[in-house]
Amino acid sequence: MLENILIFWFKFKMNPFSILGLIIVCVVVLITIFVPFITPFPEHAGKVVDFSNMNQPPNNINYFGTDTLGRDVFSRTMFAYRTSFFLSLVVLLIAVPVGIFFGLLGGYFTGLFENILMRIVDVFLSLPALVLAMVIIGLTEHSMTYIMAAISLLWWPWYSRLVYSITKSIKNEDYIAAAKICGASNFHILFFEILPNCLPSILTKITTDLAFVIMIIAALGFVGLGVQPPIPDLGRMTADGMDLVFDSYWLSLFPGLAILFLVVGFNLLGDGLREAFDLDLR
Amino acid sequence: MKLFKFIISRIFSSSITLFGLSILIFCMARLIPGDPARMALGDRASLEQVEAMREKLLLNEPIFIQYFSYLKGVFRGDLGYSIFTKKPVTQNIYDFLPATLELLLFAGFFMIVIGVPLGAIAAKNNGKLSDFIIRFFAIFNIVTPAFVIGILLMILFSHNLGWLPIAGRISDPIFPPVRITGLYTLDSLIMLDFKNFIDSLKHILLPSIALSLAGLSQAIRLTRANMLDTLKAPYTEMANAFAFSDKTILFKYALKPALIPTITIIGLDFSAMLGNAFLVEMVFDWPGIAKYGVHSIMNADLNAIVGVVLIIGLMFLVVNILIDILIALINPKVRLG
Amino acid sequence: MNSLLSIESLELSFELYKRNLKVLNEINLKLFKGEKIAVVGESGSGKSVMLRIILGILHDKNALIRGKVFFDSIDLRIQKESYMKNHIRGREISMIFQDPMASLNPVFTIRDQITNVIKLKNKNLKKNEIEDIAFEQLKKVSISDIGRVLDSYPFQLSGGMAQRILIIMALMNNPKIVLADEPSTALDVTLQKQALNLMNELTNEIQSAVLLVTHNLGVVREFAERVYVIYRGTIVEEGLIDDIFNNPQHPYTIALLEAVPRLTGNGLPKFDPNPPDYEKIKKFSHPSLSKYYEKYS
Repeated sequence: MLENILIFWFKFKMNPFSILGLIIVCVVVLITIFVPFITPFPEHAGKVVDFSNMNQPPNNINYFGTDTLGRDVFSRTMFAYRTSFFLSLVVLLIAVPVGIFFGLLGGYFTGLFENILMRIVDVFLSLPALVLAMVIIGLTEHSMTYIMAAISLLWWPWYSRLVYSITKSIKNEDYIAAAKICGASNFHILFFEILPNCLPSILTKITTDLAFVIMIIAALGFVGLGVQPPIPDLGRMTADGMDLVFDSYWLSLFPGLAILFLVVGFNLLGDGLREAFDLDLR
Repeated sequence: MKLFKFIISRIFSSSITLFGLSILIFCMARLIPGDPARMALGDRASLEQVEAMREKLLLNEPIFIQYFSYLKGVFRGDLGYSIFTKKPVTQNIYDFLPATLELLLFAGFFMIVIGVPLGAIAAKNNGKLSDFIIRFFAIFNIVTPAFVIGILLMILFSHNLGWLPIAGRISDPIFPPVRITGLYTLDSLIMLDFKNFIDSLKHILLPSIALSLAGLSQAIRLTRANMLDTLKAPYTEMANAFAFSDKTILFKYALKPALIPTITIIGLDFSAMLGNAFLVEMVFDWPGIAKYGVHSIMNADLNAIVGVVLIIGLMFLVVNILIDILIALINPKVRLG
Repeated sequence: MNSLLSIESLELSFELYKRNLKVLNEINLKLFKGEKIAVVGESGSGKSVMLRIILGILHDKNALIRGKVFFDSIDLRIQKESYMKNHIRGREISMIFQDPMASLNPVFTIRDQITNVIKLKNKNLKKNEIEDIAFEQLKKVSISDIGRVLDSYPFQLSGGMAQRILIIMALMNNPKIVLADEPSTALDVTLQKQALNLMNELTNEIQSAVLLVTHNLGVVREFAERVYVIYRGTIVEEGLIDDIFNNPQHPYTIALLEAVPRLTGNGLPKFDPNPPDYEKIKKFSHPSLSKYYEKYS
């Protein structure tokens, strides 16, 4: 077991981009944990205004400048990381198990259930995630709870589809038949034979999805359907800054770059994971 | 023949999906809190006027009657009336769809014409400097926020450098070209109106680059990864052993089988690109169907919302079918097996 | 001696995770014009990779190669890639690969792939000229319904047919040497015999030498005049076919021959549970070889 982990690490290490991704993700995770301690103005993430200080360009006190209400952009950006990350984790914590569950069942037990399930999955997958999210949230409420619920609702089908296709392709393999002959229960086969085969794909997808959900939440914020102010949200901050983008570029630039930084980091990490799982060791 | 049957069955299952989607969205749109009739008429309208409007919009009928009435309308080409623009939704779609199509076409073009060859070159030069440089530019993935890229591009090229216009589809003093396809660049080219063409091109450049970046990076990485596999395959080894005439034959030989898994995934990525179109249109004030969609959502313009969703769903399904056909063309096993 | 091919002190090692793997150890081998020799050994003995070094198509980044490979007095190891591409591969020296289904590109027709080989001789042939050559060549390997076969994709052909296509592709341009990497291993016994007979016939026609690499002693018996026995990257015995089979000297060769199942029964051979390090036991060269080599001086 330990040997496998070491070999995995060796393969992962071979790609410098993956290491970069890992570093970025670690930095982000550290930020989300230690946010109140590393930002100079943690209270600016809440209901604070300081008109005397508004619209300052980046300087020694406010590393990213201040916004139209005088709040420190740097602190707000860091707190926004925390909001995004938290939302993303919750969404995946709900969507992934539900998706895996239905995917396994749908792929293994053929028949009416499989058909209906996959039709439903098809409908959810027929629209870009962002569009569906916008419609659902736009028609309901854009509070934290509704956002989490809406995105989880439209996210689980992606995992079902993934697990479904893997399950279908391996359920006729010899080792599944062998397990059945030995008297393994369906539960055992699903969760201890089939599921482990899905894990590499699932793990890789989760890493990319963390970035994807954060991106969607930022996009929702950008069009005005994100979390309500004064909770800082990267997308919202970027959008608000757009009107003044040519004079006070820092209002849009830094939250935007923050999104980019996060997304690129998770992508590189996800890619690295995929390569480490796949490559033959020569 | 097999290909034909294949297409028919795909169209059939896609139609069912579209159906399911329409039911889902329609019900969601009708079930929101708030009164659509009141929203249409405004706060000043009297109760009788609101009630009359409710009757007119069939809002008091059971939901499936509303749905069937809507469905009948769809087959007649009538998608309802947009409260916000005060025009039929179909008219709005007719006006705005070409802009989005043009954007998607340009973005898709960049993605494939730049992405795939770069990926192939990176695979060929695996481990060398060119490989690393190409991979460095492809660190963006399908989830790259296109709107951030758009803003960055806008700041750099429009503001700081002043090379390209900031927003919109065409500069104010110039009239849009005569509508043949609705694509400004194509129409102006057909009419040989070069001033118009250049101007349209300048306007579409930044938004389409912003939109294509995610897919472009993905295309590079997928092509590269899949070609690394095919370059190691036994048939490529044999081609090497026979020193097949040109390097280009090796590129055909190793690239074609690699395209199969690449195109499959790029098809899925198209969905993300459609989603990103919404953001890019907002950033660049591009008068496309996505911007129309966002405004409809913000204004709870129900018919418009349903209409836009259906169109987007339709576009996505059509692209999927096209991709399946493309794969069938490249992969003989699908065609003949 | 005027050998067509002469491998001298060839060594190959790979740099791997945690260690350096030595695959070929001071290989010395000769091949004369028109000769048919076999290199026989078990899987992993390094025989297949040796063929790739001869053609210069071993592109592993971690590979360290030392030694010389003389073809007609030219050391192929130090030639430029363009020389190898324009003169050697597919022309002077060609190769028949192990798995015919895997060695043909799945998304191109047989016609496309054969055309590439035909064009090696003459880039400017017209379509109908190419078609004629293709027909002519495929007839030589007794393929019927040639038109249909040319239109097909590899997955539509049987293994035997694919193997014959591979053979004719390798022989089409009259190579001086044909390298055969476990040919027909992927086929059943009857097809195997057919393929070997075909190879024999066609190579005799054009007087090519054949270097056949295999783990199958039956194939060696059928096909080769002279044999090298290889174990773990080291040649342990060399001799004429009859000497090897009737009078094996090296313990590994003896063990190898014992391992062949016999129709007469007698159960499983008794193997030493702690076999000696075969590659450390001195190589044995049968004395009859020197008389044999005189033919070629």
